[in-house]
Amino acid sequence: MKKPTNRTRAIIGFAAAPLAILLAGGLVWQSSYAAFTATTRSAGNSWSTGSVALTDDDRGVAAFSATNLVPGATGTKCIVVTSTASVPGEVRSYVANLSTSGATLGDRITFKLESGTGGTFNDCTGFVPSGPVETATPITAVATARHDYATGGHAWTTAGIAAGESHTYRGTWTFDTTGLTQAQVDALQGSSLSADLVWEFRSK
Amino acid sequence: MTTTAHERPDNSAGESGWVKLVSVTLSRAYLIGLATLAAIAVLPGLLGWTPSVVQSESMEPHVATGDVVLASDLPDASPLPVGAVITFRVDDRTIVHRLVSVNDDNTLVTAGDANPQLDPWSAARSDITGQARLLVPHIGLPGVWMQRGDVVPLALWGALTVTALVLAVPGSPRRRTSKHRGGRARRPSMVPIAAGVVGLLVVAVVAVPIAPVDAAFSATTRATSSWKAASYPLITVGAMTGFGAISYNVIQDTSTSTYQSTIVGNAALTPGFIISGFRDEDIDTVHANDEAANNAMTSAKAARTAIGQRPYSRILSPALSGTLTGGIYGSSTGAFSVAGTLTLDARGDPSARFVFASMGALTMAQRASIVLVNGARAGNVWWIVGTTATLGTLESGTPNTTAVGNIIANGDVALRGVNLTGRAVSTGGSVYLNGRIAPTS
Repeated sequence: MKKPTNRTRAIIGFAAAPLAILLAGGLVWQSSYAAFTATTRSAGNSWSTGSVALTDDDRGVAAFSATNLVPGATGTKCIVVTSTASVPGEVRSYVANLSTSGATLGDRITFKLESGTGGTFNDCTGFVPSGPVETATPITAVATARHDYATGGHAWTTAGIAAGESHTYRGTWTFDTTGLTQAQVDALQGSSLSADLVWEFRSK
Repeated sequence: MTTTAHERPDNSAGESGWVKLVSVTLSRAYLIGLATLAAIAVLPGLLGWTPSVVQSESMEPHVATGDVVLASDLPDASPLPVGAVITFRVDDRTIVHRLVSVNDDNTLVTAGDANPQLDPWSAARSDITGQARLLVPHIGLPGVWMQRGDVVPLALWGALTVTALVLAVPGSPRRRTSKHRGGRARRPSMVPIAAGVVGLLVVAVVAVPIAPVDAAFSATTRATSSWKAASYPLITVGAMTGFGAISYNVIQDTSTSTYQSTIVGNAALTPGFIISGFRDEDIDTVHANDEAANNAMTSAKAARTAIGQRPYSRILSPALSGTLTGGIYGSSTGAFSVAGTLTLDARGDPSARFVFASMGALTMAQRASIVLVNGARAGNVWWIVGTTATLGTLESGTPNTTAVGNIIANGDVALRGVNLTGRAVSTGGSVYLNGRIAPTS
């Protein structure tokens, strides 16, 4: 093979710069086009491997669901929340979609959420609380105080283990009519309340 | 390389020349490409476009960590670019996500392309900082690495760039010297200047604080919850109002001639029709098998059914004494008896309800009494009796036992020397009265 001639050197030397600029520009144009001209989200079935998912083990069953409540009724459920985020973040819990019908049952259902480890949905055996001691609070007050990620509580810092990392939450509710007259208790009859207990992950 | 300089000097020289040319050219192309990207990332800032370095992967596959997003301002007058990628502020972070739709209340529905779920937060139009226009891939990576302390990729990239810088400057000092020895005037080379510019731009990309933008990952899971308080039929006196005695069979005054029993109200008979021993003035009105009588009996049964649907608040031992607060009380044996004084304390709640429901009998000893305190009302006291209610023991003389409440028994109700504030109901037997009944509502 011969040495490159000066002419070859010159041609390549001159061509390299504009080509590189064109390539870079093309790269920007192509990336911008791909990213910003589509007006729908990616097809929806192929989420990036970097994406996160937060799941709980309630399998879609209402976690806290009770009917025919009489004063003093109480219940406890444990829920295991699993994060498969590949990036570190923080999971917080809050109450959303609070809706009441009839009388103010929300003031009379107290709720206590504890954070810890162990236990499964429907079975709190082995649950060990790890957070601060919680007190039962009327669910309307909880919903007012903790209604989005910013105001959410029970912060759980996740390390970003894509294989999944879990945390258990134990919720205890009580239909507490302490201090009400019989007439007020009777007025609560048939009233209902629904709310979503939300765990939200956000990457750091 | 299999050939050696010794065997094939010409070819070897040719190849090394080509290698040098290619490496120099690639180095320059790399540096110029880098400089171009850097320039594209930085220069639109002069037009007022806002550059931001993407910090996470939620907009994959199109936007990755280290990309620089250039966003143009969104004029107030322009419509919301639904479907487009926007930058907006949430909780003191800047987010680059796609605007999926707009809610009725004008809050924005946004989502990361890589997030299966919509964003949980709702931004408003005023939170939008711009619409993404240009994406400069990867150019912000060194800055991200530096920020995160990712030493290895930073060092590799640094080494690559320095190598490229060295290679891009052609010729060794020795060759340059020999060239210049040839007598030609030294022409200032553009290459070191270009290298300097490239270096500056690269430094700019690394060092200039381009605002970080989060393509923040978020995900939520929720536990739905619902509660519904039990709903029961009312426990109410209803059509029993005004009736002191309601009997399935007969109503009989069992007092002797020395004492005349009275009902300060009406009496109902259904389906029975025999009422005996009372003078006209001892009872207001006697309803036998009329509509009022039937309604009164129906109300009594309805109240009993309504009570039966409710759970007990406590099971008591059958001998009632002391003070009880409102509640629905069952008996551990199925019967209730009052030997002395039973105080029912409403604690200031006039709606407090005292229900004693038993499958068996209710008995009260002679001179026993039921006392209402703190606002308790006789109309809210209920005795549901499975068999018979036998209150007091007197066969004759002035009543000396005090009872209150609605007594609803399956069998006979026998009041023997009793002052009853309430009513006596037998749904399957008779009412025998030696005493006085004053009905309450």
